[in-house]
Amino acid sequence: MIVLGPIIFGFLLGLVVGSRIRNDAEVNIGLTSGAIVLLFIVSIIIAWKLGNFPYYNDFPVATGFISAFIGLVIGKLIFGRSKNTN
Amino acid sequence: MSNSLRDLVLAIITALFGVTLFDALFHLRSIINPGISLVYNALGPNIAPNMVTNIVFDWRGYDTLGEALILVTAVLVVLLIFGRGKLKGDEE
Amino acid sequence: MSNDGSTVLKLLALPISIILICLGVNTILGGHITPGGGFQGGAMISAGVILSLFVYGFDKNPIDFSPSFVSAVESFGALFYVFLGLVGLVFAGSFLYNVGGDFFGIVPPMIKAIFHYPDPTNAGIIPYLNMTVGLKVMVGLTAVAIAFSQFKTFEEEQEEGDDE
Repeated sequence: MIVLGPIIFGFLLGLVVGSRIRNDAEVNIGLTSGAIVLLFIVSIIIAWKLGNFPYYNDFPVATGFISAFIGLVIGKLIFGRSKNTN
Repeated sequence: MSNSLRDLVLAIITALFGVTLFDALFHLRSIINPGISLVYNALGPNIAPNMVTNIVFDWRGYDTLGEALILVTAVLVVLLIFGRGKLKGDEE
Repeated sequence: MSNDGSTVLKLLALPISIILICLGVNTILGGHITPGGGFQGGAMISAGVILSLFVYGFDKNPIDFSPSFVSAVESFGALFYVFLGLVGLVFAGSFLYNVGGDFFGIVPPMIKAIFHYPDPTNAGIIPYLNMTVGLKVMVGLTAVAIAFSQFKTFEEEQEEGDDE
C-alpha cells in the first residue's frame, strides 16, 4: 500500500513556495540544469538517511522530502516570474 | 484628601485580593482530580500517535485558532510600524 | 545595496535554502506522528527563505515574496482553518469536530471519506490543520524579516531627501 498523503501534499506545498522563484538571467547564476540534477541526487541521499515516518512501511526513504523538491522545481519551471514592477 | 482616600481604598482591595488568592491555593492538591487526563490517555492512541498534536489540534483546536490570530496581530503591528519603506509597493 | 554576501556565500546559499525548505515541508507533513507540526515546520521554511534574503539582498533575491502573495497566503490559511471548523459544525454539531477520524460515528460516510488524510493512522483533519498553520507562520515571519531589512534603506533615503 503506497501511502499517498505525503506525496500529494508535499508536492502542493513545494509548488506554493516554488512559484516565487525568479527566472531572470541576472539572478539565477547558479541554478542551471546540471545543478538541479545534482541537487536531486543529493536530496535522494538525504531522504535515504532521514528514513520514513514510523508507521509508514512502503518506501525506506522520506517521500515528503523528495516530493517537496520536485514540487519546488516544477513550480519554478511553470510559474517562474521575470522581474515585475515591484 | 483624595490622595489618602485613594490609598485607603487601594489597601482594602489588596487585602481582599490576598485573602481570595490564599483561599484558592490552600490545600490545592486535594482539589485536583485527574479526570480528563485519564480520558485523554485512553482515547489518544486511537486517533494519532502524537499525543501533543492530539491535544493541540483535535481536542483543543479552538485555542490554536486563537494562537493563529495572535500571529496575525503581531505581523500586522510590525508591518504598520516598520513597513513604510519598500513593502508598501512601488511609490512612483 | 552594499551589505550582500561575498561570492562564496552567493554560490552556496540557494542550494542550502532549497534543502531547508524541503526539510520544513517534511516536518509539517509528519506533524501527527513525529515531534514537529505546523508551527515548527513553518518556521523552518521561513528560515530557508530568510537565508536567501540576507545573502542576496532584497533587490536580487531569487525567492521573492511580494506583498500581494503574503497577504493572499495568510488569508487563505486563516480562512481554510475556519472552513474546516464550519464543516464540522454543519455535519456533526460542534465546531472543529474531527470529521476525518470520526470518533462518535455521527458523520455521513462520504464526508468522512473526503476529509480523511490517506494514511495508516486515523488522524482525520489534523494534517490539514497543520499545513494551513504552517503556511501562515511561513509568510508571517518572512514578511517581518523583509520589513526589518528594508527600514534602514528607507531611513537613508529620507535623510538624503532632507539634505537636498
